[in-house]
Order: sequence, then structure tokens, then C-alpha cells
Amino acid sequence: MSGAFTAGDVILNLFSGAVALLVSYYAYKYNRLVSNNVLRFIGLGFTALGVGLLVEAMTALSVAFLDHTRATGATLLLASTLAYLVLQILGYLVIAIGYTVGAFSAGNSGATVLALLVPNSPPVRYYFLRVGDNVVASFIMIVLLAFVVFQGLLIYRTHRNRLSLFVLAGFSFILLGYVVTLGSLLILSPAVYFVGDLIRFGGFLAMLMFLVGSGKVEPT
Amino acid sequence: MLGVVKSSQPERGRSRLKIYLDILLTIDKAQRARPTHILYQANLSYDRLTKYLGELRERSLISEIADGDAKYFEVTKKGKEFIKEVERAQAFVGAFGLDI
Repeated sequence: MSGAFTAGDVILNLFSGAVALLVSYYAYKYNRLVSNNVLRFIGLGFTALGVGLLVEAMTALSVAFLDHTRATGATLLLASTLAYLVLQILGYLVIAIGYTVGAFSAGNSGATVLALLVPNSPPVRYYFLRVGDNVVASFIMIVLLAFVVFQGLLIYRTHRNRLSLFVLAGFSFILLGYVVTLGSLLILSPAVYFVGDLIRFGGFLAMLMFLVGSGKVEPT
Repeated sequence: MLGVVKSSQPERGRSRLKIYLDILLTIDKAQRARPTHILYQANLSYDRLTKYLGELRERSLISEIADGDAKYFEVTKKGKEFIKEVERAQAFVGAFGLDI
């Protein structure tokens, strides 16, 4: 990936991570008032996602500045790449479980989703990881996000309000972003990879609009 | 945060937080409201209304004003902030398919 793409990647991931952490902050804040398990899941999920995105930004920076031909640099790159992939998968997984609990209120639905969606970890070697991403991780995130978008669609169809539309749009763009990212990994195109990041960034912009909108509630 | 109100145990379909909000909005809309007015608007029995009004007063979200023999309630500044906070929470959780 060229320097320009790396710089763009870092900025987009920093912004997206900040928005994700902001969503988690409000989820925790309102959970103190409302006390709801779904909010706990959403708070935890967005925390993992936000930290994962910030680690991804730091990893992209390390690609630019560290000497990965040396053992220390390569180990650091491997560790940070694995960390952000695991954190992001965990984030989407927890959000997906939270949505399921909210939509169906089924006792063991979270465990069921976990059992269905998390395959056995494949053996990972650092040369399999390309600029902090890999095909397996992207595929898992796409599956999880497809599930989240489906739940979001059900919620929007029920409530039909502007804020739930922002959340649905946010997750839909993030899903589309990962689909494009997966495509870029298959055709080995840095430009398409960056387009995927841009689309995902659009998703976090929609999340930011949701936060701004929820803070400006019209008096009842 | 303006005090924690646990709403996880709904009472007759409405959570405690929702009942607080209904009472506060009723009083706020009327500016000064008599107990009977709140009772009808918030759809509560007299016993439950007395209990919730007591809790809201303890939290300094409403204040009681005596005007001759009549008794009125007003929403305090803290109560108005609480209404805004709960409405924001309602909007936030609503986007995820939840209610307060």
C-alpha cells in the first residue's frame, strides 16, 4: 500500500475508532439510567470495535515507520494485526448478540450465535496477513455484520424513525465496506482496499449523525 | 448523570423511569399541577401517585407549593434536566429497538 493510502487509512480508522468509542460512551451512560442488557452489549461491542480500529490505525502507522525485516518489527506487526482483528470481530459479535437479545429476548440466543459463527481458529502465520487484514477475518466480520444489518432492518421496519435509520445505514455501510475490503484482498488491490475503508468510514459518519440526532431530541 | 433510576423491573407494563417521565412531563406541561390533574394525565392510582411523587421530591426533581388549601407541584431545574436526559436516552435506545 502506498504512503498516501496508508495516511488515509490511519485518518479514517482514527476517526471511525473515535466515533465507535463515543457510541459506547453513550451506551454506558444511558445504561446507568435505563439499565438494559442490550445497552451493555452495545457498549461493550463498540468499545472493542473502537479500540480495534485505533489499534488498526497504529498498525498502519507502524507499517510505515518500523523495519519489518527485523524480528522485533515483524513480531510487533503480527501482534497488533491479530489484536485489532480479534477486537473487531469481538466487537461485531457482541453487537450482534446484543441485537439478538433485544429483538427476540431468547435466553441462550447469544451462545447459539457464538457457536454458529465462530469457526475453529485457523493456523495463523504472519505472512498470511496483508497490511493488517486477512480474508478469514473479513469474511467473519461480513457474516456478523449481515446479521446485525438484518436485525437493524427489523428494528427500522418496526419503529420507522430517523435515528434507527441512521443506525441501519451505519451498519449497512460498514458491511459494504468490508465486502469491498474482502474483494480487494482477493484481487490484491490497494486502491480498492482504500475504497472499502472509505465506505466503512461513511458508516461511522452515519453513526455520528445518529449520536448528534439523539442529543437533539425535540421536547415531548 | 442525574441520579440512577433502575427501570429494569416494569410495573404494570410501564417502567419506573417511564412513570417518572410521564409524571414530570405532566407537571412541566401544566407548569403547576395539582395531584388530581397528575393522577388523570399520568394514569395512576392515588396510592401509586403518592408514592412516586414522594420519590420525585426526595430526588429534588419536583417541589411542592402550598397555595392556601390547595397543593401544587412544580418541576425543579434538576427535574427539567432529568426530563431532557431521559428523552435523550429514550431516543438513543429507541434506535436499537428498545424502550426506557
